[in-house]
Amino acid sequence: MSISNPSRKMKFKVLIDESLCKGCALCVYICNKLGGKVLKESNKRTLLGGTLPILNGECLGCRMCERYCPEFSITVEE
Amino acid sequence: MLKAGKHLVLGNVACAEGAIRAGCRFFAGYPITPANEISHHMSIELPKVGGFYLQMEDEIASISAVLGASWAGAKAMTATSGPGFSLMQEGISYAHMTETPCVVVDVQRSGPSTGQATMPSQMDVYQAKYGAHGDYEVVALVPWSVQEMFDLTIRAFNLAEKFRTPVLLMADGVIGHIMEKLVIPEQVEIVDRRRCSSREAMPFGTDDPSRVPEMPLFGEGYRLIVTGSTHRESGFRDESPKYHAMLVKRIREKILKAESEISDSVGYYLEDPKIVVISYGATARPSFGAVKKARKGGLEAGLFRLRTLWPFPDREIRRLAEAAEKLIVVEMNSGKILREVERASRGCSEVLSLPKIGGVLHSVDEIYKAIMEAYQ
Amino acid sequence: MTVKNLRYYREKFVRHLPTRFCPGCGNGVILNAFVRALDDLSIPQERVLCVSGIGCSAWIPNPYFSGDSLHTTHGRALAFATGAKVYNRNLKTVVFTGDGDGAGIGGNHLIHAARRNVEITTILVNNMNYGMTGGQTAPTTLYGGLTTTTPYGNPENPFNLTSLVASAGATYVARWSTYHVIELTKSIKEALQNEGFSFIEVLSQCPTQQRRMFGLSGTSSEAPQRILEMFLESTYIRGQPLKNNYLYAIPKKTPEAVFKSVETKLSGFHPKLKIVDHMAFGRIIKINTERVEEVKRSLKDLDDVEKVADPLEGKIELGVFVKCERPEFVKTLHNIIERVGENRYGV
Repeated sequence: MSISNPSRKMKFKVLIDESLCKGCALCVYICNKLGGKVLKESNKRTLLGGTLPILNGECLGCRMCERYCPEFSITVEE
Repeated sequence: MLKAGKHLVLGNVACAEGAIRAGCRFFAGYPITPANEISHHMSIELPKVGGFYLQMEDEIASISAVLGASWAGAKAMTATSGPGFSLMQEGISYAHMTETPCVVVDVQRSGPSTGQATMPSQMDVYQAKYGAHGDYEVVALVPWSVQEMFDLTIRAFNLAEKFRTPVLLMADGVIGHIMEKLVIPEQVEIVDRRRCSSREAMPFGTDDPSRVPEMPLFGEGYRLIVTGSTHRESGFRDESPKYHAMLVKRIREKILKAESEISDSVGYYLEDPKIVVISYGATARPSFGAVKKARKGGLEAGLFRLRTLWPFPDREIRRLAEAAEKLIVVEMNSGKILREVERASRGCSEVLSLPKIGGVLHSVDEIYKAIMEAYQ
Repeated sequence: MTVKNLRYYREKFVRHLPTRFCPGCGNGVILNAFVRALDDLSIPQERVLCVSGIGCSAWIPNPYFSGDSLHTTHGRALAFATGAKVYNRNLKTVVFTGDGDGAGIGGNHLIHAARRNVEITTILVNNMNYGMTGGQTAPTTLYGGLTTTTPYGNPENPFNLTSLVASAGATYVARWSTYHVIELTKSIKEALQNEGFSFIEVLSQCPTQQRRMFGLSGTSSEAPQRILEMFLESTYIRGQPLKNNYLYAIPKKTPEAVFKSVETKLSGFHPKLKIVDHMAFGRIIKINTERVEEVKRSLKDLDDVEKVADPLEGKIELGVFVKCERPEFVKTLHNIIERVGENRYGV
């Protein structure tokens, strides 16, 4: 969030390290519960067997998904 | 702390004094007869030298606190007796696997179980060697006097630091509770563990022939990882067969390869022995009296006293067995070191046992009688 | 202000990934909260010593935290940690333990460490079973809980760990869950700043073992989120008023079978009905309504409903239970050394 110029809309990218993600979907759960409701489970399998979450809409940058990720694999980049 | 010079001191107190001189600055223990005086003295003296006495909730916590302190840089010890020694075995096994230097004093009492709390025995000698789970090699020293309670405690710390291993001091109720002359020297030789020379030093692996790796400490920024699980040289867990075999082999060879340096025993009248009394700790004292008495009577008797119980001096026993006709093993248990002597002598001479249980030391005459009978 | 994203925390604090925790296990979430607390307090990493016993929780710091970590024998982490902390007082010492490791075999060390008020922060991961060894019953398993060693229901009552440790003398005691990550992170910070024994119990999801325990049928990949949702439903935060009015209808049969009849029965009140997982009652129907008393009365004579439960009935209280001062063990040991110091003579 850039404080100095609040009107400028921050653009957020969500990156998932596929070698770490086990597809536990906690990020999808919390995004849809508390966040921008933009993370969704894809049908792509991750290396470690789970389903890979993908972004389906505009991330608000609340970073809740980062707090719930047990494998430190999801990151929100500005 | 007692000044250098001559003193009349209780065995247990001498042990505590030796520890402090060796640089021990951390003691964690739990009350148990007949080891209490060590704790009492430590609780008085350690704060004076900036050290810490902890009384923990049980013996398991005591050995655990000692190991935690050791990795924080302390020369640390605990003291207990049979029942507590049993509780500490898992911690001792952990100390071997993680190569954590520490000293454990077992002032043996008469067991099994609660037994004769105030009476001495030498019944824990096998527990010292085989008490815990897993393959490891033990260093166990055995004092026979108040002076040796002092000297061997210092030696125990130096061996622990040098080989990064737990060292046991197998005292007993007699030695712990007698008062005798103690001569405290001005200076005492102190050995310190090999500290870390560089960031890349491997805390659990070395190609140094001694097999003793350098020991980094917590709080020094090494991001040290210590685990009782099988681990690589870096400390990172790796439970593969290869690493397990490598690690266990090294921690055992660390002691076995240094046997000649660690092992230490004393011979009396062993020039031309026919009968050799083999003993250790308190029972070696009446044995010595009996051998002297026999010598006066013209009998070729000698005494071989173990000052280091483990590793066991196989070679010396073998030589004695070849030289002498009979060996008499005198010990306050049902005959344990007897089996080691039988194994080591490989039938080269007859091995007799003079066990004694009941919590009372052998008398000189008992042993003298055994020597006489063996002589016929 | 650079915003720290998860990669910042991963690169700074995590030694090795991926973890060996089961997918969606609470341990990773707790490590996540812990490193944020450390970072917020800017505690120098070389000062931090994490000690852990045996069990899944023990793996949080060893090998996954990048700092000094001591992985000890089962249940003894607190005793090891006490030894290290006493000898080197500026080690910021944190113990990670589990409900079995900390309150089962380690229970004696837990209450004594609290009694001594030694400056150690203990994070006890309560997943209500012995996870690593295959889901056996633990001192915190709920009465009647199904585990691999209580196939006929747990015959024992669980500890209330926070009141146990509070009465033992700890000067900071809190309980959170892996759902409440914000509060947990804040609580860990408070614990780390407490000059005494801090204890935080964290209700944690164990997707592998808790599906049997709480009858969470359905795919295992849904388990983590379902358990977190259950934690949210089954807990309340101390001192926080309820956000809205509701009560629970506990069905005789499955909630699905009873749903229709409850809905029609209460149609007059236009309630919002939802099937939820509740740790104390299992799968039940949550009824959001302003007219609580009337709904309660009208459900009384509906024989499909076994019982109507109040909002807080059978729920686990979260929050900070103790925050006080008591003499601290290591400080006292150092005072003794100073006091005795006059006739100290060098060795």
